[in-house]
Amino acid sequence: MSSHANAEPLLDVRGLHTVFHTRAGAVPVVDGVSLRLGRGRVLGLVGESGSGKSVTGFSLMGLVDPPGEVVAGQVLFNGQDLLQLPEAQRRALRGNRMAMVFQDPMATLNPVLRIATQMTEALHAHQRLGRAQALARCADALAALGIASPQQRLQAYPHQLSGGMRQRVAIAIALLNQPDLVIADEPTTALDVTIQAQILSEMQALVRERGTALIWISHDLSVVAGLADEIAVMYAGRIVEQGPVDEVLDHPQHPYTQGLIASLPSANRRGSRLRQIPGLAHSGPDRPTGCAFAPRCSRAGAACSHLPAATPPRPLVPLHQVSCHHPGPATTQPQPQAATA
Amino acid sequence: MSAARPVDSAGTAAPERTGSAADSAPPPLLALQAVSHHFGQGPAPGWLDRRLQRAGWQTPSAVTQALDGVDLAVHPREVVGLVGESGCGKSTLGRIAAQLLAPSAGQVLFNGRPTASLDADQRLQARLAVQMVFQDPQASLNPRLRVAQAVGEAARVHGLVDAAALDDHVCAQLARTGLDPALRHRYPHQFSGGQRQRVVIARALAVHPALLVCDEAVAALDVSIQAQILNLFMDLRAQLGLALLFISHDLGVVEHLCDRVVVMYLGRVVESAPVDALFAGARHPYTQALLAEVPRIATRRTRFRPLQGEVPSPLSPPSGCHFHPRCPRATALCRQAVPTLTGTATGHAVACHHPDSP
Repeated sequence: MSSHANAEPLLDVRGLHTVFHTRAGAVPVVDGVSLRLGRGRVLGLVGESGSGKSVTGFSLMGLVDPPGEVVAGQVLFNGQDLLQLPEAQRRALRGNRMAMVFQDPMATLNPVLRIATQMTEALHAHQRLGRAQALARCADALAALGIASPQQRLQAYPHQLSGGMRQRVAIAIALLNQPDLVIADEPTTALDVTIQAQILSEMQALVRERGTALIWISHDLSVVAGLADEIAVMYAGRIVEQGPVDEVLDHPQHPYTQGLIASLPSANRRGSRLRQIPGLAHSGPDRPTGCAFAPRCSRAGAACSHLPAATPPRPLVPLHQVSCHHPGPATTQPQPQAATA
Repeated sequence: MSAARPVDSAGTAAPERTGSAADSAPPPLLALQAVSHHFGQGPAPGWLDRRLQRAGWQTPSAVTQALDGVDLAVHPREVVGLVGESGCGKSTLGRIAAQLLAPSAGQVLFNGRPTASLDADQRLQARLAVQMVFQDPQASLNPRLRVAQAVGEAARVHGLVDAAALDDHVCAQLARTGLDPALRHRYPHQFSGGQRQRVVIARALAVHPALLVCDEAVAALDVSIQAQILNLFMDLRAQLGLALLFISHDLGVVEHLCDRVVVMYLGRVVESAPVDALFAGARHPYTQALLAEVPRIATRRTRFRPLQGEVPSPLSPPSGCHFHPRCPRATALCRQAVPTLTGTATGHAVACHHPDSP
């Protein structure tokens, strides 16, 4: 359970800052994100659109293109700071030791190349391998994701496959070199529930078998609940709450996490009005200096004009970290009221 | 059918046309009877085409059976959920309900009268009474029209308001959907995704519909925005007595909002039941599998046990019951005979040769 407490985590992100340079100035998109992830663990990174969760994934992979720029922080991967590495060495890691799966599989797949060409390319980029051997590895990878008759699928073009099948191919490519870390950016959001469940089950099995660490980026807390060991909730570029999945979901301490959970239809009585978080998510360059959630928060006070530090709000659960000046359990079940903390 | 839900708010703005015969059993607001729809069915091949096809130089055009004998009724003030995987025909059914598509077979009844028998003016009224809200508000709004123009255009064209009252009408619709009327001279790109969906709903409301067909109307929205839009739908139903045909793949949303749920698989209805009955005791194996796969926040580190296989292509659907290749209970009977939709007195109907006893 607590392999998290081991001396050396696989991934240790400290104070990551990514900005996008616009005409209105540098917009901070990832604003001091710190994460730790052990081998074989699954981290659910949850947030709404614009919260910076995808850019966090891109920053870890080194895929932020101008006008975006990673301006500060450390990304320690196996103890090595990726941000200090020359581009050639990062490239050798990418697709080999760390890989990424995107929401739209057609963003990964080239429409005019056969699946076999695209898969063997990922193998040949990182090791010397005969063609027959490479094809056999690819067929195995497809079969491991539950694709029937993988030999025939290898000869197909992407448009000949269904959406769920394409996403499996994209995942198979990411897993080909048996990476230590996979970052999956909403890979099942565009898929049907039955296909989503199939892919979740296959990912889950592979992660367990191979000890691959997985960062699952999603806007849907309920998908993450079934898959993740740990959860990090992002709001406006910062992680507001993180910790073991049971702690975060059963005892959420940050008002934003509580609002997200309360707005799920399954958390409400059938037919009743859903509880909603008032206001709109902040976007744009002129972000408040303190807690970005304060304008929408029922507990906001004078202290919230300063940035809250991440602290464990409950002494017995040190891994559960909350960035809030007024952490505490959700106020009573009906409509949110003023703070008690 | 939907008497279980307390929806009787007093100040009900009546829909612009009340049922023609308001005696003991009022007809459903909208009813589809044995509706089928094919895509890609051209005219019958002529002698040249037949010869070319026989020689193997031309393949007959592929016909997609999108809908196959579907019955559906939406009563006034009722919220009906239509659930199914992509490709099952639920959007086609929504378009037929909104009279944007004419069915290949079967008929659409509005207030108990077939739309085909209506004269042009009545048909226009029937069309106005059913409005549609699509998944992507960005795609359904003209980027070059200000919001006031988009919302007011249809009401003006159909003579529901005169030019002098148009601005007030637009403001009223925007206020009703929770938008500040002062923003009406902005363009769609100046709004957030949730606000744009409100604009689209305001545009639909501007012609006083009795039924909204919502095709995945909250699928593209974040969870917290989704909650706001679902609340808006519930308010509209209480205030205006709107009926909703709510097309969605998200069973959690459907469970929350709907009175009755219709589950489709590959162009056919496989199960139809009041929402409590369906979520308490689904009888069709497909519905059971769908319900088992709804991600819930209470399920942690589960072992996912998914339904195997994918939806077959509607170009060549399986014989008999369309679901038999994926069904754990399939027998020889399922491969041959199409199960009929048979219901109980409680309105729980299922099309399966081997349903679970309720």
